[in-house]
Amino acid sequence: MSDPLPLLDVSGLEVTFPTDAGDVHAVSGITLAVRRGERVGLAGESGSGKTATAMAISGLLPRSVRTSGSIRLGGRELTGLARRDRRKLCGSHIGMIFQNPQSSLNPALTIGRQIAEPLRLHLGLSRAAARARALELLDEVGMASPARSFEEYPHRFSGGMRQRAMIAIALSCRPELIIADEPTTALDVTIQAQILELLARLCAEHGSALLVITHDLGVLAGLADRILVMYSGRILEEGPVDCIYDRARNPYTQALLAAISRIDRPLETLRPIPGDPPSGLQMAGGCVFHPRCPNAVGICRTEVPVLLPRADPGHRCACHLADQLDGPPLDAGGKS
Amino acid sequence: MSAPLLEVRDMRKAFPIVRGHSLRRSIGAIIAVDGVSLTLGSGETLGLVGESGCGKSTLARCILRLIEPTAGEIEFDGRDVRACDKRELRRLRRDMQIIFQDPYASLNPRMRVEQLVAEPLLVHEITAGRRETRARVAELLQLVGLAAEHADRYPHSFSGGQRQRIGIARAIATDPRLLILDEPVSALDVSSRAQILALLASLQARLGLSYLFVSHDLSAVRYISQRVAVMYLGKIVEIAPRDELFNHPRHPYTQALLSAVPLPDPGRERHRRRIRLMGEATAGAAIAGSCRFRARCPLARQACAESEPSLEPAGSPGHAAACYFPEPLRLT
Amino acid sequence: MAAKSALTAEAERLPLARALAGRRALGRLLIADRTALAGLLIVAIVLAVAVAAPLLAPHDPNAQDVLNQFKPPSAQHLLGTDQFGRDELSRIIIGARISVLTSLAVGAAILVIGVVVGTVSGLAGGLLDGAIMRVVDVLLAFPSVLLALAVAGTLGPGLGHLAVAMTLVWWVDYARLVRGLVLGVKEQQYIESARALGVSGRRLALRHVLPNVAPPIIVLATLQTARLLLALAALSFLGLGVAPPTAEWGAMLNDGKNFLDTAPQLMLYPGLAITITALGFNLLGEGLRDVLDPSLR
Repeated sequence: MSDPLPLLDVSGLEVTFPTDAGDVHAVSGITLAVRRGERVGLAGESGSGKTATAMAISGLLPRSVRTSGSIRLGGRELTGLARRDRRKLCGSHIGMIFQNPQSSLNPALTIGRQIAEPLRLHLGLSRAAARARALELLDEVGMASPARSFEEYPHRFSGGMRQRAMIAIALSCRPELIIADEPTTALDVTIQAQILELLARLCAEHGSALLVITHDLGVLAGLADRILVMYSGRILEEGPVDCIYDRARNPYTQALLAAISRIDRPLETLRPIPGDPPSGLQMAGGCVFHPRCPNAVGICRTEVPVLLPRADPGHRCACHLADQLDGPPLDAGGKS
Repeated sequence: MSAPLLEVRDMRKAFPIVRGHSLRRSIGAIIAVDGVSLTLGSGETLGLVGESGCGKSTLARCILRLIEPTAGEIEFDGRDVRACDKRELRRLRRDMQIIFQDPYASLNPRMRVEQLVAEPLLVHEITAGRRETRARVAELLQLVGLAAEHADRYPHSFSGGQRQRIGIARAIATDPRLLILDEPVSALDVSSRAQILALLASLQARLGLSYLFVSHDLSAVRYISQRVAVMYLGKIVEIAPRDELFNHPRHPYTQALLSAVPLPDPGRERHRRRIRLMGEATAGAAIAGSCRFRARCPLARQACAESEPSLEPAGSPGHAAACYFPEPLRLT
Repeated sequence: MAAKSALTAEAERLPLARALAGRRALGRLLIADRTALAGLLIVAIVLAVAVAAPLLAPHDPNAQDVLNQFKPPSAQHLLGTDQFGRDELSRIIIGARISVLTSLAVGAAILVIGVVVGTVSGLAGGLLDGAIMRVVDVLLAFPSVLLALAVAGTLGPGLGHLAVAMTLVWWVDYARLVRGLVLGVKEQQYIESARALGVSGRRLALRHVLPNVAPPIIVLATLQTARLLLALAALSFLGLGVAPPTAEWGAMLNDGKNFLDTAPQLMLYPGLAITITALGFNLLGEGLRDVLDPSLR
């Protein structure tokens, strides 16, 4: 069985962006753990703070942003490290896949060079060795004619191929953890299926853990073992994947699932979640979801609910009314 | 049955590939739309599905003549759209409107919401005087679910869903008959997506609009369309009433597309058998004289290389597919 | 497809958007940036002096008093006198009027010409664009000051001719910048949206394109004023423009060079005036740039 000590251990993470209009609390104290080889999904919409979380873990936040809390990778605390040490650690142990392959790849460097760069930087490989390994990687990620692709510039590739290149870069140093931030959002659905399958396969082969951050609950259903649902900087629910989709207890999770139109089910009225996504500037008192929750009562407005265990092992939900609620939200909520 | 509101016949659009800066030479062309015909009735929604490079957005713009088609006929409400001069086209724009994909890019950042929504009213002289214009703007904002007070703010202070509402208000200001929606919810969150789709459905019922819903998002298309057409590399490869298409797709590409959509159901996802398509669709890569899907089709046979199949009836009435071997496939 | 990035970008974009929203924030940022504030102050003072010059000058700048040449600063002549006994301070003040106001006038003229040409070129495209850009390229191939020199020399002496010469030479910078900006804005989806609504060419240019290209233009205009001031001084120094005894900073520099070893202050005062004024405009321009177009930061 896998190592009981989590590979990635984030605890009490807070991320605050200072702006002229006031502080934006992107992340208000979250705890998440990823074990070796595990596949964890962080689900959330825009304004949920999920990207800020990813960037905090990989140390990519600008200096002006304030963070607090603990981020441990393989037992080592990352938050206090000097930037250079952190970069080194993250570069070789964490692989990042970004959302937009167009802007994440340097247009002025060939694909081969960009794959070889971390190899030379973090593993100290020679040019020849790096090239050989890069070609191997290009083959692994399914690039047609790796030798030719090596010499090409990103603009010659389609979105799907660029994302494969990104995966190759992320995997190059055999990282223990891969963080993928909306890896397939910008791709066509057939290409998306290819990329997701590739990602799952490679992570299994290399034994890497995977943290997928996305708003697409369909993607997570097929990819993740465990899911955390994030809203306005807080985790509202977490649990094994089957649990979340079949037995979600938090009204936000339920509303999110109800708002998705599925092609395999008979057509029914879509139930949009009323109101607007949180802006991060005006923080709702109490439960962050209460302004849009159809079941909100007095306590929801004043007290922040804590993640409490539910019946299934590993399933936790932050809702004052979790015991009373059963199934989809009480209100139909179909207003535009 | 009454005459269709919109009829497109054999539309073609080719983008020339040019070399050189001042002295331009054309060395070839990318054919984005390669002979597309479709009809749209009054009050109906036709979904147009396809992946990037299939030409659906180009087709949408050609119908409005935002891009000039290379060939083909467009008939809107009995009028020949291609034959219209500048003035007539402007008049036509009152009846045909478009909503764009990116709510962050489609609104002029330096104009206030009031100015944005009032612009079509001013351009087409629908209202006279400030008071009347303001009243109509307030009416439109409320119709799309925004408050009249929002009129004084700038677009950047709104969320993506709200901005899309502003775009919708702008588009329906002239009381159009046809609304072309180019990926209207693709850039939005799940919750905003559902809200906007619900809004579009209710507006259609209220105002009697016809929609051409262009999207790669199959579930959104399914929710709002009565008929659905699937495009691949510039051609329609399948068209059918909605339920028929989703339950009994006949073209291999449609089947692959449907099987690739991830379902929010872990149990089913784990056991799902997908139709795997290899490679990608390169825009303009269609080889003349053979089925354009042949290179990626898991069912390709000799006949597919010899000539290009045209849209032929397949299955129930109203259902057509461009395939020599349209086999029904029951998908999960 | 690329618009999907808007989803996650929204979270990051929101703080920045709110931070820079509205005119209130603009004023606040401008005041907060001290260099911009310094620039604003300098420019304001210089402009005030330039406009009110005849009222401020203690003496007639052209009144000669040969007996009182090269006098050091005194109560009567705060900056002393020049080689003809004229009050240096008055000459500096009146000089401000000519130097600064001429620069501003030329600046305004080239702004209008450049923006119009650039917008037409950018929006029209095709052959017209090509033709205009070839003209611009040719003009840009020459060093501006030399070209202005040649034109002014051809036209003949006098400040008016010099101003015309400078206008004919310097509009090209704007044209090129504006055209580039217009080309960028032209591709934006809100332009397509306006066209889809039926917005005509003229309204499109005025209501949609220009407001979105304005910020970099404003920044350039401020920085350009500094350059024009220096160019004007250089050309006057070379003997073009105003005729003696008219006070103008560049001309004063020219006059003063003959007395560099005996009375260096005669070059120092106009030199400082030019430098400080140019600096003021530069600082203001940089400050405006930070405020109006943060993407350039």
